Amino acid sequence: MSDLPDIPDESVGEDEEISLVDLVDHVLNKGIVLVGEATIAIADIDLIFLGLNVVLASVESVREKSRPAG
Amino acid sequence: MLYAYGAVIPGTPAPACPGILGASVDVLYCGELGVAVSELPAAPDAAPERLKEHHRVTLALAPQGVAPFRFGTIFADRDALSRALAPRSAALLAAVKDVPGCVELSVCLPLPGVPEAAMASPGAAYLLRKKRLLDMEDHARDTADRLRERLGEMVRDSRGEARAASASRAAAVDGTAPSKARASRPQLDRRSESCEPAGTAQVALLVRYDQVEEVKARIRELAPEAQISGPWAPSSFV
Repeated sequence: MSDLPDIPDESVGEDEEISLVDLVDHVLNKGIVLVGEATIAIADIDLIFLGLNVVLASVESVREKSRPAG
Repeated sequence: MLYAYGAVIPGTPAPACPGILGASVDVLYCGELGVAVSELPAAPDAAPERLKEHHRVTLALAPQGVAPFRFGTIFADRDALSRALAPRSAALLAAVKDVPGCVELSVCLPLPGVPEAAMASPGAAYLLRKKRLLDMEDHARDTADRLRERLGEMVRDSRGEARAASASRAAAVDGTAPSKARASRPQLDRRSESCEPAGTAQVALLVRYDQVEEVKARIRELAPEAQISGPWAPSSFV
């Protein structure tokens, strides 16, 4: 185990209301998406597999990305 | 199966906090890259607790540098992990080396409305709505730049994007609910008066983990209306 310095963790305190929205935004909506043999899966349902450049994202994010440019 | 939290610099110690469902977290070496993983019997559900566990691990790795993966990234085994990382390992390592000791703060600031087009034809109204969205993006980037400028060396990098309010988003997309807001540039120091926010500027700031509270205090001085969340792993900067 590590001796890493502590980081303030108020964003996920047990009584903290912030934000399931923020949590979803940072953990489900952002972050590196690997392709190849990575599988992005939730509860045994594969959402991405084997080189498909499909991105697991919130509905809002998908709407944003699918909106035509211009 | 292996659940992967993020890429780290080789030699990074495993974080002390537990991982998904209380599993221990190890750092595996995949070529020139380290990857924080937990052995799980099945893919986790997306319950808030699981999201928090993922977040805690990636945040705990931030002092040493981490390129966080999206929640739910799993591999059948170590070989599959190595093969998936191989094509991107150099880029991931460079990204990790660029953010050691850094975390992300999210700052939400109201964006003022922009002028409503009066008596516009349907085609012109559509184009004007598109322009409003682009203007909001510009405003959001301006807001991010100005906030970073005012915070000075406490901020290493910044990103800004606009997020339309629900009603305004509907108006922008469907033309069903025109905004009543007037035009002005976003204010850092005070909320625009009599101006219904058309949305928010979502500003991501890359800051040192040991300056988080200092940065938050300074932001509250500069923009009392700001809603701050974090610290988060630096997912907007890798």
